[in-house]
Amino acid sequence: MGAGPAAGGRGARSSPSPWAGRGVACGGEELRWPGPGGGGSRLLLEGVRVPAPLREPARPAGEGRAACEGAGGPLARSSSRFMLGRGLKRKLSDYEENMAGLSSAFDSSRNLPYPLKRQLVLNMCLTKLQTYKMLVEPNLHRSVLIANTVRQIQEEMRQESSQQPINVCNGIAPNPPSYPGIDSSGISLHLPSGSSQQESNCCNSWSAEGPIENSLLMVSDDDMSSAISSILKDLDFMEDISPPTSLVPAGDDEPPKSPENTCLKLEDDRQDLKGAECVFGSFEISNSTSYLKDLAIDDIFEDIDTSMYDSDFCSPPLMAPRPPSAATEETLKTFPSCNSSSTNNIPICRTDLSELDHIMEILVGS
Amino acid sequence: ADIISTVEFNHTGELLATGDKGGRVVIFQREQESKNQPHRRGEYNVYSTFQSHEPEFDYLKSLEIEEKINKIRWLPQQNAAYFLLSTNDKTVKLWKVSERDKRPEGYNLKDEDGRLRDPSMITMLRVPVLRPMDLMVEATPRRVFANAHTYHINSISVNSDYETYMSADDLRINLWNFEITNQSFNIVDIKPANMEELTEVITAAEFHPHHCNTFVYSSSKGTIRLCDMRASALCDRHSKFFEEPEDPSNRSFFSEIISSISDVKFSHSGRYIMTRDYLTVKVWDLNMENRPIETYQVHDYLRSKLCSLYENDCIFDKFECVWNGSDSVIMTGSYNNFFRMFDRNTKRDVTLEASRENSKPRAILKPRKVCVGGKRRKDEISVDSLDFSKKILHTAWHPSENIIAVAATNNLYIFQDKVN
Repeated sequence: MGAGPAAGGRGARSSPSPWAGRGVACGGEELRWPGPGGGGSRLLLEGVRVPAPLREPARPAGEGRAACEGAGGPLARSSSRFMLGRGLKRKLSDYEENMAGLSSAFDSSRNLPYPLKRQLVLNMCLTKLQTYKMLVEPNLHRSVLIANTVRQIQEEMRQESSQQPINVCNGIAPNPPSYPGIDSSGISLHLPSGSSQQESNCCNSWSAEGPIENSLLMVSDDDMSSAISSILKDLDFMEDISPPTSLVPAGDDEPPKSPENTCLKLEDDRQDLKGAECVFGSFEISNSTSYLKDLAIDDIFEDIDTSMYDSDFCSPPLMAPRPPSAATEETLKTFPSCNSSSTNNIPICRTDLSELDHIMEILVGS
Repeated sequence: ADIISTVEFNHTGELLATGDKGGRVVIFQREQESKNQPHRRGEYNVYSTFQSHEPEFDYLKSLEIEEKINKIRWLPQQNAAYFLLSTNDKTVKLWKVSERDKRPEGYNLKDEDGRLRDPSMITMLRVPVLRPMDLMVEATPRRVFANAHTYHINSISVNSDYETYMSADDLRINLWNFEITNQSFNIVDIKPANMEELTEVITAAEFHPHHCNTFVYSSSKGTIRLCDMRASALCDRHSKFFEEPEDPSNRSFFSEIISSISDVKFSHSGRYIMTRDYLTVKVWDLNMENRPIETYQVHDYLRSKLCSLYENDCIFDKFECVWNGSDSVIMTGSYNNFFRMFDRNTKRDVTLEASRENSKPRAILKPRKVCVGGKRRKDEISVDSLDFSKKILHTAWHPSENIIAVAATNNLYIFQDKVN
């Protein structure tokens, strides 16, 4: 560790310092602010040039760590660096841009039904978590915050669903969760419209449907928890020096990757009950949670199209260029079984859009 | 690589250090005020530049370690040299910055070029003399404190005993002695046995300015814990726990994310702490744990844009906050190169902009205003036109005078109070 280089001393003031070239404004700029001795602030109404919106940021080739920190974050992620106002047309050529449009819709529209808002947020969270999982070193702080948000939404959904069987037969919407300010009339409009159709069609066989619905929810909750757990476990493995075997115990309930994909699809299915019925038609209704634990997840869901929520939707497949760690190797093992159904997928974007439109239609009940 | 990542005045305010994303530290020094030009008060000029950290590769985990300087903290001056701590994600370094304006001349065994002389040619002995030379500022690394953090270091803080300091990462806080680089004490560890249960991380930590046994650390859940190192070796049990009950009317999906504290600072008096979360700055009295004594809205107009800000990751931006020398004014940054100051006594606040477009040298900064809805006045900016890539995360305030340093991405602005 030799002596550091000496540079930029007082005697070298005449030579351009590295800062001056990059536009440092040093000294000389003065301000006046409200203070006991100061002149007080005046709102000057002279013309001030509003900075013109900058050009669209270039989309970087790879995500990398830059996506997480620093000023490169928003530029690297999406084009929604500016708040996009209503009526702004954009080419829907990218899944990310679509999400940006949805999030602007979330912010600007008050009439968006609460469950849809919640689903939007949940999708965004899960998308982010999946993206972070692909990074070699995910940001622990952000992952924890997002995982907490997912858990919160999941808990709320669970409570809601546990109330639903009671209320649905009366056609009354369940009580709005603890988010005041939400337009409750919106909820009563939309929730029963999605579910009451099912109920009214098969109110005779409600007893058979209830367990299905509950089992769906229970399954997705457990899978969601295991998804979050797996993300945090992977983080632990990535970061800490503990031996891998202790972190991924052999007695783990489900392999990490596949339930995550399938639970995302299950989440989607919950909104589309008809589709869900078909998926779980072959199940024995008795106790699906333990049923799942006994089986290998890959086999059951092999024919489900998880293309929308595959984690490689925006970048080359999961084969990381870096030497794989044990966690990554496990990932590679479980993924092929899930991806087999989606190998025929053409650009994800277009199928995503049509699926999103489809979901929105169902939710809005149009 | 030129994005400024930290700004810090030293204890006298004579020096201002900045760290950037490329691992470099640039130190500015204030010009001595000259009697010839009394109206031109000391300006800051570059004093020293050195490469503090280099990018590294952790071969064991196949991870790159960024060279970005996360924090710089000065040590109080005890001799002619200046000492500062600089840290990246994993390693803390103690740097000594010293001046040299004399050099010895007249060696016996070497000639002026440094070449060795033939001993048989030497016929007389002389004593080398010190002759003045052009001022040279040298930075040398004196200590390297490495391999103590599994997670990313977010804070360092020098203790008031000037013998120890602490470094905090997402889950642990370590206590170091300046003289010992191969050992550190772990004083806080919030890592759960089962990582699946992790719901909270450490976001910032600081020592009390006068009590060397006391420190605080903030969390991602919006809480602050004050710990006393006299209580036990491992300060997992806090002495005080500061948390404000949630406001149910402001509840949203993003409530937890925006409550995450990005910075915590003791006041100079040591009586208060200030915390910054995404939308507000709060001042807490150390004697009252159940709520802050003051809350200031930094950019509440963003509350209705949280989903978009979440989508583009801006909601995770970590803004810092600073006190002025007398603890009467607090300052923090915002977007669009705006920064805000709040006067705690008069309860007035101002929004200013750090940009060269809108301010010429020596011009008075005009207060800015963001209009939320409805009619926009001539000089106001609407929320939708704010540039969210221009964020002011790092600011610093001179310890005794009204001089502030504001880092706007890769530009540094220094503003002084106008004196009539």
